Amino acid sequence: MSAALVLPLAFGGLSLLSLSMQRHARDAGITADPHWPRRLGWGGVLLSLAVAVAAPNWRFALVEWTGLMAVAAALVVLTLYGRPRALPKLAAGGGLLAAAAALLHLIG
Amino acid sequence: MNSTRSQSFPRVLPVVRAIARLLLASAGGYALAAALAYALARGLPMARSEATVTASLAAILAMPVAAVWTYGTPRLWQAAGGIAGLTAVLAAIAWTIGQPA
Amino acid sequence: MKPGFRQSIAGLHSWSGLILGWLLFAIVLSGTATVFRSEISGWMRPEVVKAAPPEAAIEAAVRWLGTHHPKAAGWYLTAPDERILTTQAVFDDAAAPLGYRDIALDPVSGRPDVARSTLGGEFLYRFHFELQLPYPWGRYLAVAAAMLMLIAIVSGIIIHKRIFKDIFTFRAGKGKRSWLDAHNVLGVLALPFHLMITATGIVTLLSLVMPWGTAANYGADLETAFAEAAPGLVSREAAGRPAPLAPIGPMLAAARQHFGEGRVGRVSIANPGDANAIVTIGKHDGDQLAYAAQTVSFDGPSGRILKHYAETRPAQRTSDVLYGLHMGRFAPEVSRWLYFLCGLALAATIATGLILWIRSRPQACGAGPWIAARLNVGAVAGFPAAILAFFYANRLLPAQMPGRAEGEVSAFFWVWGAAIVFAMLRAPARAWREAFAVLALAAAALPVVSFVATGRGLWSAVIGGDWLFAGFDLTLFAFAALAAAIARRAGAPSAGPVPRRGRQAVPA
Repeated sequence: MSAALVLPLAFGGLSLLSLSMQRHARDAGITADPHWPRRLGWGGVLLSLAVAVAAPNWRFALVEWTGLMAVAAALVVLTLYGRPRALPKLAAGGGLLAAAAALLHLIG
Repeated sequence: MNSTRSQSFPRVLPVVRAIARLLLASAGGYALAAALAYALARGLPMARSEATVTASLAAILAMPVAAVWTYGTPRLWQAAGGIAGLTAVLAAIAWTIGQPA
Repeated sequence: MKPGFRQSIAGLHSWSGLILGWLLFAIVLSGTATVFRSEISGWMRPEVVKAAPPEAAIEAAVRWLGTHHPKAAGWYLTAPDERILTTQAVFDDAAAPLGYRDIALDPVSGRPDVARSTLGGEFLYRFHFELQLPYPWGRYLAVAAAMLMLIAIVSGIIIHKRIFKDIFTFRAGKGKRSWLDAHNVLGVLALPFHLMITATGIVTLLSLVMPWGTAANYGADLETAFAEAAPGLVSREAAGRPAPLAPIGPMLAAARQHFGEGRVGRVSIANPGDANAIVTIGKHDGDQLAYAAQTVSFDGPSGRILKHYAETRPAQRTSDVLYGLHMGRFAPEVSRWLYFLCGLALAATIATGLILWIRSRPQACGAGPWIAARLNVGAVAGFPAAILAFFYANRLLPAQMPGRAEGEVSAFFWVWGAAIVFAMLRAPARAWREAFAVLALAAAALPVVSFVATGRGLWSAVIGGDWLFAGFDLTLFAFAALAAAIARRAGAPSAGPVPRRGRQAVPA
């Protein structure tokens, strides 16, 4: 069930990582200091991993996480291709919600 | 590969070289992997069956490494010498240890 | 890295990708379909609707086999589970064309003739590594292809100069640059999967491709090698004296006690009906990553436990986990779809790579590029078309037709061959458009044909919670949409000249 949490987290994290790159930030119409997106992005990716392997069977979960990362990255590429300007909002919205849910999930 | 010397030869030569390199990467790479499997299976300090599995798994990885090395080495004779030399060393190690009783 | 080095490795990349590229595409796509082997088998046997608990299904199967094939040297059964209703049975039979039979038995009656005769998902599974060639040549070819793909992946990583910087980059409408971006993105995003599935694919055929470790330690004594590799398996010669097999139910119950939480998966019965019969019960592959992780063996006539074995040796266990990762039988629902999607990405990586090879040679003339450009269409469009033909034949061939299962396979190969011939006769740009338009139509129409032929369709499936049929139809519609999108784009003139930056290595 954790896939519903892992995917938006990974998407948020990878989106931020893409936005920390100059080319994609320009396409998305933002000029942010690349340090914060990069750190937050890695944070999102690591959090998605933590949520994934907190599952009862971490071995299965690790395989699933690897696949979900690929899907999340593909979604980032598709968004950058089709709706680049929507990416910051999608990343922030989805990522924040998922991060809050994930922290509750890990504590709970 | 593209030394001025080779360009002065007839056009067949690059094709021959390409085929030779392809054969070296495939047949030579496989021979190297097989020799590695032989040497590791006998040399690894494990139970016989465990050493066999470990050696076979490691040998799989040896083939792509050998192929990349073959193509990455500028001179064909160097690549051939390297593959042949390493294969011979591994085969000698396997032969020295001998088949476990 | 020196530019010369990169160029040489680029040569290795395109050689290793091209030599068996078209075959690799077929291997990868059939493997991707095989992720849903159970579901495909269920869809292709719509007559089977009643379920039975796995233990009861195994008992029914053993009863039927005992009556109809008592003389077989062994019966190899796979119990039904939440994904499939039928028991799969493999056993030797001199009367069968290949010398063995691989059939599905009804879980309630144990009979093979409740459903129409079909190989089901087993065909795609077998094709994936045997390529419909005689043993062992198909397997040799498949493992050679896998090794070439491993070399292609490793060399591809080396020549990709900006593997992290370009990880999210796809630039459309730029001709060859766009194809290269697509090839890179598809290859890099699922790279862990691509590496895993290729390397573990070689592991599944390890004894075939790398027998030298065994030869080094055991010489020609393969019996000892096998016994030490799989100590859980008890083997003994047939006694030649008949003895009835003890009831299998209590053996299944005893095995389950050993498995703890685990279910019963595979059951093999060696020399059934002989005084030396052995029943081996294996834990279900869905309960752990490792393949064939735990077995309990019984003396056939008495039902007494001979051995209980769970693999704990590190190297053998590693090998079992690698094997299990490739088979993906452990994968719960989400993971199964991820395997499927990543498999599609790998097939698309191969296809874009093959197209790139042509795109990198716009001025090339001669037989090689001419054939390659056409083979690309024939292979890339032809293989999915062949799979669809296999499904169509399943729905359209008469249920009582003799040689029906073989007829479905013939439909598969005829359509594959016809697609390649078609591609040879057309200009590639037109052939891409036409072939994918046909694919889109065929995929979209299959749910309708299936509904007319079986009375089970998407609407009733969704209402009745029949997720097998609903999922199958929705996947076909998704595939039709994808094929239509490719048909619409294929052959469209690509905008602008190819930018020559000379910064990125291009497969040469």
